[in-house]
Amino acid sequence: MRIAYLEDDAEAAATVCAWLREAGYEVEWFNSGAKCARAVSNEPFDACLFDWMVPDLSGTDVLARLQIKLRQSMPPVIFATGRDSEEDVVEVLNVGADDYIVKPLSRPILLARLQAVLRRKGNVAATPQTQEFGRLVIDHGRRQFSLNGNVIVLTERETDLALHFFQNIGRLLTRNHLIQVVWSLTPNIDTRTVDVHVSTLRRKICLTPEFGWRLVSIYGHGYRLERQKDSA
Amino acid sequence: MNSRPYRALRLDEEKGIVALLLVFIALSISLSGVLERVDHLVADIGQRINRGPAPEGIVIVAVDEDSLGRIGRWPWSREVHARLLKTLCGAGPAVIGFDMAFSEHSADVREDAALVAAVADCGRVVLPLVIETSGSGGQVLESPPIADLAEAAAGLGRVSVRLDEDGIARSVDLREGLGAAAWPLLAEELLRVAGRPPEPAVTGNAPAAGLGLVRQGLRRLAFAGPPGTIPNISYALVLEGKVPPEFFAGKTVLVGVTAVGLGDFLPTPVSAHGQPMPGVEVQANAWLSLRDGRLSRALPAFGQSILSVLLALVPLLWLPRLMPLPGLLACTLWVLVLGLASTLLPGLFQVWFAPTGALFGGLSAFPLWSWRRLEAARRHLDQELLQLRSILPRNGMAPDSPDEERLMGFEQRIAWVQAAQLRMQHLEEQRKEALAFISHDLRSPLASAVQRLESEPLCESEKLLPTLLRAQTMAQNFLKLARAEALDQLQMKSLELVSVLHQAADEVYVLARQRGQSIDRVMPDGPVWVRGDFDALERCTINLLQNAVNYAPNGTPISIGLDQAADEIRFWVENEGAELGDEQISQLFQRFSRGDKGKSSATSSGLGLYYVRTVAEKHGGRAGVECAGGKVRFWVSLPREKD
Repeated sequence: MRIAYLEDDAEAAATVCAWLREAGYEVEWFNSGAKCARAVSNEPFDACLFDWMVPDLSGTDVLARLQIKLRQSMPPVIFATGRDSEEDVVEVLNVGADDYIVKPLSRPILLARLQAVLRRKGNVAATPQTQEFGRLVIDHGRRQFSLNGNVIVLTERETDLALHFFQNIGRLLTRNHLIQVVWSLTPNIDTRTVDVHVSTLRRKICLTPEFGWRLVSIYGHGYRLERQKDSA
Repeated sequence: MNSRPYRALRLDEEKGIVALLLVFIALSISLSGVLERVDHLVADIGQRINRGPAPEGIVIVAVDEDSLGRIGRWPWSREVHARLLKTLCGAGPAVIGFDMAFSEHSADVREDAALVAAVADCGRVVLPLVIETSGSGGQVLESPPIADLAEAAAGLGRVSVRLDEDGIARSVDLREGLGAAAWPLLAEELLRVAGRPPEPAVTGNAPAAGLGLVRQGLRRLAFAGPPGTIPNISYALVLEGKVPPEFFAGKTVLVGVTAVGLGDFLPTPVSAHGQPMPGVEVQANAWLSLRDGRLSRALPAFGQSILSVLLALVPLLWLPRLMPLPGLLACTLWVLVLGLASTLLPGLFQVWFAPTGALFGGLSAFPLWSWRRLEAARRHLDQELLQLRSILPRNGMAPDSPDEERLMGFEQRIAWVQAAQLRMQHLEEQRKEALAFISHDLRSPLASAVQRLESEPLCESEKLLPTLLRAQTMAQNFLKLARAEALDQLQMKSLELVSVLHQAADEVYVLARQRGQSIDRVMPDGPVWVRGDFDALERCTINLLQNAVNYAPNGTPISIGLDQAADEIRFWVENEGAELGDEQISQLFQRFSRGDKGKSSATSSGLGLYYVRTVAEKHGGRAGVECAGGKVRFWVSLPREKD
């Protein structure tokens, strides 16, 4: 797995490079946006980790250039940003980033997010027919969820949404993405509908830390289903 | 560019504008004469305050009511006048003048002959010539005395007086006549016959003008005083020989009618209370003025205009330098001085300057200048507003468009700037607080970490981490607070509150579990929509939960819930704990306040509940705390979203 890493702070870059190499990734570090854009468009990379603030070209500029050149073959991108206000995060997601991490970076979070975005390309099929998370069992073939052996009653849309979440654990799913995937046949869907469905899933499937889950809303613009690490 | 020359330029420009307006006002008033009555008023005041010396050397022999009673009905026989003339002449006066017309022959030729003989005998008699407008055709006629009398008289003089357009007699023409300005004044003839020709004789001749009336040498009279000031004596007394001859010796004697209803009466500047002056006394005044050289001449039109303009501009010498009140006082003083000077000029220098142009210039100078200053102030305000609007994007009162701004009144603009200023002050306070925070709260943990590193370079990271984490948390809290204080209700979006509360509870779950505390969620199944800021509300709820986790005893439950009322939505966090005192409660939501436990806690910055309150208020809601039955419940209420 080859990762392009754009960061102008050499010291911070050294630490992160070390983490990634230890985790078995091959890392190429760039301290200039232009160089990074050139490299990624010419050589194959599996994922990108961009810092937002780089002297010559900002991370968002690099991403915009790459999207024009690479289009479908664009590798997944994670942004590292020192700013985490709603506008900043929304901007990063709007330019097409797959996820973002707020600085200072933490090793487990970085590795988890990286893993999640790397699972994206064509790996969905690799999701097993059934998933077991303690008391929660998911049968993808029969589209059924059961908790403590009891089948949870879900509507058609809720089932679609829940299955999509469990196929993308740890990945940030924007509200627009969810609308495209789950409500593709329904025109003019209200974004509130997504929020209501997500909120219902949280209640029905008990996606709470007590049950080992966290369903994180990114300022209401997107959602990420995460495993709660030290659950009971 | 340096701002100073720019300002000086601006001021010069302003001065120029005001000067132009003043010149226009002074010139138009001075040339058009629209306010001539004001000039008259000033002149009349001058006449009253500026009396000449007590009149001497002249006496009026008055045909008064008493004389009419004794001698009989008017007109009297010319023999009576002849007798009077004999008596008078015998007393040895310098000259005798008559202010009564003898332009027609009497019915009895002997009467005329008697008078002609008396005049000729005396040899020092001046008779009047009347220039009058005939009643019907508006034709002007010279009416001299009958030929014999005119020949016998030592001189002929006009008794005509100029009336201003307000009907008041203020001036005389030294020469006047039909076709040519030939006739001198009666007063001048009296002086000439007495052997004392007046100094300012008219020189040169006015151009002849066909048969029209020609006038020359317009002069303003200086009245000796109100009617009756000039000594007079009853005609009858003189005729009866009751006046001692010394009374008339060497004097100029004027004979004329003063009885009401008979002769001509003229309103004059000195005749107060509608008491007009007999024509003969006006003639006497003219004689006095002429003899004493107190006739004054008006400035020529050109000089008048130039002087008016210059005087009108004088206030600009001080207005730009003075504050409004001193400026107003100086202008008032200037107008008074101008008025006073023009009233005194005729008396002192025999020159009349019509002051209205200059006066109105002086009066207008202050309002005009103030107007320009106000305009400048308004421009300044607008500029400030523009700047403030760019610095403070919204302060509630600001109009959105320049059009709206144009409609704003002056007071509104001032109020607006004041509001903006208050906000600036508020921002300044926040800046100070921020500095205090950085210099104390943030620096001290960092300093202690540095100190530790210096003393034991290879110290373990576990020892350093807590202090550094604390500094980082504090900085983050402070930034969050700054962001919360800048929240704007207009930019808030509709969001689902229940999921925000769930998310906050998820966030605090680990911390609570470490203390053996559970988080019970008492929340509705359906969605609850509010208008708000996702991040701020989440952070606010997390603060409340962390607060509960910190203060609740280990192993006790914490609950979070949401109640909906008709007009508000209230969410709350409840934990077991000792009841709070009123004083404690009042301090809870203040900045940098910490509970007893918080003071000992390393991570508490004292901003937690203040942040909660700020967020609640920025959402148009409130925050509060209730204690009951061993439980403490912090709550935040938000207004319901209006659809």
